Amino acid sequence: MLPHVVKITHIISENAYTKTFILDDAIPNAMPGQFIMLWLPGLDEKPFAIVARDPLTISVAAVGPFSRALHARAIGDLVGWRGAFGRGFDLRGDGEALLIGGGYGVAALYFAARELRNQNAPVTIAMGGRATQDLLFEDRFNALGANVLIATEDGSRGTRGFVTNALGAVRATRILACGPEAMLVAVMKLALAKNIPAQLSVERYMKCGFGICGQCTLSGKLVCQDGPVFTASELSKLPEFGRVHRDASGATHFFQGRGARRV
Amino acid sequence: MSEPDLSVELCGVRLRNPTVLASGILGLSEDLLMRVGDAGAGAVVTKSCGLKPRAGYPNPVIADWGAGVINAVGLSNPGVEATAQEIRVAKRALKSRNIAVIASIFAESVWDFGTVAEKISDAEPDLIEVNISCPNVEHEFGQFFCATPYVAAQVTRRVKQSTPIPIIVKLSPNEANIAEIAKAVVQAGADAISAINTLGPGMVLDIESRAPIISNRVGGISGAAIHPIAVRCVYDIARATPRVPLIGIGGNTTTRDAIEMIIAGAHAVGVGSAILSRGLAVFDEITRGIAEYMTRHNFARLADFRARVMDTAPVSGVR
Repeated sequence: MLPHVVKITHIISENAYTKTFILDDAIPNAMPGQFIMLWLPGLDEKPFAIVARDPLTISVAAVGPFSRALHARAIGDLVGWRGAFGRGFDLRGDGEALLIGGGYGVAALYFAARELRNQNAPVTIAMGGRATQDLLFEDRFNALGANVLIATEDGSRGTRGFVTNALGAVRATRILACGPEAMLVAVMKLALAKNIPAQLSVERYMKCGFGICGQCTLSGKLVCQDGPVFTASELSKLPEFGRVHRDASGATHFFQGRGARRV
Repeated sequence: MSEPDLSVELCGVRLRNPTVLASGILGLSEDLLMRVGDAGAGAVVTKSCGLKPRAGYPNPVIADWGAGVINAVGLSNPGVEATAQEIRVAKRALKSRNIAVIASIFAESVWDFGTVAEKISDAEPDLIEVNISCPNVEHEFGQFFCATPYVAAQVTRRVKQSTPIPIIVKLSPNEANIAEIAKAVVQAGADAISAINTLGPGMVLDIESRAPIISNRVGGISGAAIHPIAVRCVYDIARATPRVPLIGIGGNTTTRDAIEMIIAGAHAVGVGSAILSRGLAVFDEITRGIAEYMTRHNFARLADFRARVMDTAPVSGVR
């Protein structure tokens, strides 16, 4: 499949460094948690979680050369996409869903929240960031009728500290999470300890996106194809999760700090 | 009749079946090599490694245009030391399962080929594949190592002097006479040959933005589209160097493709791009398909139909 090259029809500034891009296309079969490879012709191509199917929508934080170049694009400019790739969230089942998002990971969860609300499932979203300006999509989750919990590391909004500190007594029967790997590790431990089924969306450096280059290996699982969404019990058996990631050469590195990846 | 024997010996290394994971596909980590082995491959080949880590080209590095696949990854690799460590772990896991681990190496000079071979030998891969044929990276004289029989032989000799492990030299379809190159590397000491690397370079353009799809603008072509060319190359090589083990690579997608490759002269068959359309089950499916074919034709061993292209009368003149 070659990239579909289409125009950007809308650009929305979400916070200090995140923009939402709406494309002149639809991706009707995409599931929440799946991703597209977004191509800036002549520059580079990176994976992004799908935020909405129709029109095809993604939200991108300007954290590296590619995402900054995308932020410099205007309405009417051409971008390419291919996908949907990977295994998304499994939204079958019932009971309250607890969605836990860190930083721009919150955007990927919004698609899942909308589907869950369409099924009339109760949804709580716990979103975290370093400061108020990192928070994302708060109004949109409120508009869905989701219960919104907020944590900031500097305490400027909501609970001071990491998002996992803001959860209180967890009544949910299922957990979905997307965010920095250190947050995902905390969520995995919580879910395993409380015996709540959890699905976590993992990031790795990607090249092909369709399972043949091997670049995104996570202890032999391909994040692009077997993931990016894995269950907590799957991740607990993958020794590289939370510890090791690979760069463009394939060389391994240990996670430092909070495990944020820069694209 | 008893079960057909699908095992094959390459330079003293016995493979349980003739399917080989082609270099550049999935062979990035020990876990992935083991996964492909578990999926049914008779041997697995690492991504090519060089002296130093290389990030390769920006994305897109690969695109599937429907009739085939174009790629220019730019030989990204974590360097020979990291790859050696990957091989050590993979070998420990795969040895008991009779799955061979082949190290693929490249370098930017004749001398460096020897240095990389020496370093990778420390991890004791079963075989070393010498990649002199990547169409996306030029060597020191602005020419490919496989472009002339002379330079191809120089590389082969240098690698051969640097390692006690049997070497496979991987040839390119992009040179005028692949049989001449095959003869030259065998005379220089190659223990086996693999062919073909990707065809090209080719180019795929996006018609909306008018940009080349892959970042390197041009790239090597693989997949079903190149299979007939691979079969012809294998046929030519098998006739030029009949006693040398040969891994036939290039667009092997179905059982039929693999059998065709063996009839043309291949001892083993490389599988790469087919994983894109058929998944890792392709190794097992091809192996079982070959077994059925052998049973149907009463072939006990692969040698019973290897290099057995029907001798048809040459056509003289055009009617």
